[in-house]
Amino acid sequence: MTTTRRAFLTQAGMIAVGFGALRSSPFLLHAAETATAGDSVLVFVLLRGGADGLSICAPYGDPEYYKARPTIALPKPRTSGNDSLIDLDGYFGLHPALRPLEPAWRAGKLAIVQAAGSRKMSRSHFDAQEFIETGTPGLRGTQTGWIDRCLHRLPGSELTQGIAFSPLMPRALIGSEPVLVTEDLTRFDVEAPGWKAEAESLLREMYASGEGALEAVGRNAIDVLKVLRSKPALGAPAAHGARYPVTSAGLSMQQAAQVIRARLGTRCIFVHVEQRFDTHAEQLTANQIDFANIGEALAAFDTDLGSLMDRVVVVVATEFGRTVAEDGSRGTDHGTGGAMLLLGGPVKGRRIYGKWPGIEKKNLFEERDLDVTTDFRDVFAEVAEKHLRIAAGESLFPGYTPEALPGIVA
Amino acid sequence: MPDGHSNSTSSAAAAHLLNRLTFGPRPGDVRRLTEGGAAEFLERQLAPEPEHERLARKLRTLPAIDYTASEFVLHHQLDKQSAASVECPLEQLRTAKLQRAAESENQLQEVLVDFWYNHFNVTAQAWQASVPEYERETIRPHVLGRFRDLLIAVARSPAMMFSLDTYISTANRVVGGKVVLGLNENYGRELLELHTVGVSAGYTQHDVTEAARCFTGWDFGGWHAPLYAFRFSREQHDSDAKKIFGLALPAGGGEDDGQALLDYLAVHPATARFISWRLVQRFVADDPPPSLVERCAATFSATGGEIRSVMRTLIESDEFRTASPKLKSPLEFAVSAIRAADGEIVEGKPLADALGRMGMPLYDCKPPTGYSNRGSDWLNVSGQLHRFNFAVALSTGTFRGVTVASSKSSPAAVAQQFADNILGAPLSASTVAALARASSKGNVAAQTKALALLIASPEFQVR
Repeated sequence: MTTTRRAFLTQAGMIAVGFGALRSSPFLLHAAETATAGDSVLVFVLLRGGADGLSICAPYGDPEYYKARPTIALPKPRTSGNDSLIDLDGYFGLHPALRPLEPAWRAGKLAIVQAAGSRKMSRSHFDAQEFIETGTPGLRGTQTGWIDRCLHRLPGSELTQGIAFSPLMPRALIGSEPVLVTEDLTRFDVEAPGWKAEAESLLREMYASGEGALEAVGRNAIDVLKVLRSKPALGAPAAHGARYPVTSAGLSMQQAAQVIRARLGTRCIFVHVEQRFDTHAEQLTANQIDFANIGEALAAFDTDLGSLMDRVVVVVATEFGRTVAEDGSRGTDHGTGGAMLLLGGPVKGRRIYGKWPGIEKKNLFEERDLDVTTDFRDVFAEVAEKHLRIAAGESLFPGYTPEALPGIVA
Repeated sequence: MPDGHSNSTSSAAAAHLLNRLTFGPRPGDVRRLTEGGAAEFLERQLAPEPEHERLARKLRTLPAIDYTASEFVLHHQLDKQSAASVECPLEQLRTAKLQRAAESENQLQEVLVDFWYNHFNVTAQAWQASVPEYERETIRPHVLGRFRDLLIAVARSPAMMFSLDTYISTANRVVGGKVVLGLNENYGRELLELHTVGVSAGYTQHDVTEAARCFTGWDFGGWHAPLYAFRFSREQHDSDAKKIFGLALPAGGGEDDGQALLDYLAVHPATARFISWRLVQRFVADDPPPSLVERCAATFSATGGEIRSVMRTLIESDEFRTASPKLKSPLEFAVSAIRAADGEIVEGKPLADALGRMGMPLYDCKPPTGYSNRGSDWLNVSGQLHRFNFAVALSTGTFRGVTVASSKSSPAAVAQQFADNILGAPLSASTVAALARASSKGNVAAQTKALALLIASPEFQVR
């Protein structure tokens, strides 16, 4: 595997190196050797499009919320039946479409970080998604993703250590570690009727010797098939009566659960979710559908894994929050601070983390957005350090060392 | 690449031109280009001609691609029966795109239609019926023309106005002491970030809001005649003064506010650089050489944004001539494979579905950003596996909707022809070794296996 990993690093020009300095640090070597976390798993769910944090977790106790959003604020708890917010702590309420997550909240397995993000993020989807995936807000062109850097610090380098349920390789996983990227594991196979074994062997041979990233990916594509075939449990149906929504997010979460149960050595799973989170118009309708999808998928995952959730932390993030005030189309525009969800056995749940900056005009970032009081990297760093048991600090987030961890993970 | 004798060098150069400016060589293309010369090829590609009859006949069987958005509605209302045949414009549109890519002689034009549609991306999921008209009337006529004309056509198109919410964005008003919100900044932001000056140009949130204000009142007629045509509503327009990115617009500009901003942005130096950068990334290198971007931008500025002239600067550059291999996108890979196998697309849907599985569903890229022009962004194990499977299915004639000529040649001859006619370069040692091991066992002929391996080979994944 070392050859493969080196090949990823040294291929010509496709992913520039720039990682070498980090790689050779003796500190990192130490970190990898002392890691003892067994098989804890991070599931990182990225809601692409900028999901509205003030609708995921609405500050119904703040009258400014209703002033800023005359047509799209959600009704206070117990005032409008099933359309009402679900009370969390007497001040914030969970979006009604996220009701499937209420049991996990009550059970203390679900936490929310409010006003999370970075002031250096960007109101460009493209930039902000890059930043949240590289972990370097405000700095374009970072060559590795933060999850790749996590994988790099973890012992072992199985081809299935990192898996992305995504149509394309996500930036969060770009770098030196091999990653299994797929949308549908059941279709992940060579199809060559009548000469399948021969085709696999010949394809492998064609990609055997090249030093580039292309050849490494070609080799891995064939090699990982053997790993997957050795685990018949992969296709197992959902357990404990869990019902996943029939959506891309539902399929991805179900497969994530299968992968965890099959013990493929997987430590980091990336889940790409692309729905209508970019709600410039008619936000109520879009959120109702898309949050229900997320809520059902996460809740089914939690039910499905049962006690296995004790070694899983799911982090749900989005590239930025949205404007505090609604726009002229019953929607919101690109903003800054937003909400993150953390779900799992090790999560100290039933709590909303982060200092609430308030949404009076004077408290807003650039007079329009929810300000940021928790750097998103502090949350990522905590999951890396306490859950995956790898040293975070500046080496995980170039140029940044968290001052204090928010204390969300036990 | 061998440079010992001039013949193979020029066929390598020919293959390079074909790989970069077309959807890949068909057998015979390299030889024709070597004989006719690069200059003649380039002039032909920069001056598209009417489609040959064989392709035109195929396109005529796809009526949906000639419809306007309003015709879809009218047909549906008038005749529910015949509406069935035009109700799935996306499928027909995808078939047309793939057939043009595979068979048109105006290859550069088709590559540029893909490039510019993607630059001004709208997903068909937003408003499917508007997309055929968008590509046909808004994008296609301008792909080698003036950037300003393209930008304005896009801004006024129902598809873009719908996609980025221009049509519902109206002036914020004060009514009875209360603010009634109307402004939507979606188009204002993407106009700056994605369509013109680019995110690094240094505009602010204030510029975004001001830009959005310029387009308040831009709309397309709804259910009134003329259906879905551009119209301007003065009552919905924000008539106050505006200042965007160095452009001051006095109060009362009306429809001209948006027009003036588009005119200003269309020739802005940052636009010249950003558009050049995008073109160089598509045609030359994932990380565009700054020297070439600067020269293309200079041409852009000197010609008032003539895309044809910018393309000429790009193609005639040393950076283009000596560019290193660049990974193909799924579309580039699949179509180049069909062309290399001298294949024909009979039905587009299976191929479009395969592209969806490779992460590139046509006309369905949801972010306004469009698909990445960086080849390396398409590299991942699952994508590679899908490419392997496509190569096998195509070569064995089992890929539905695409026919390829079956070969009677020996595996060695198939490999030699592929190297000469398609790659313009010798095969790598590991590909040669794998080909040599391809057996004649089973129900798949050895030469068919050879073609599958060639299409799946590392050297065919790049262009």
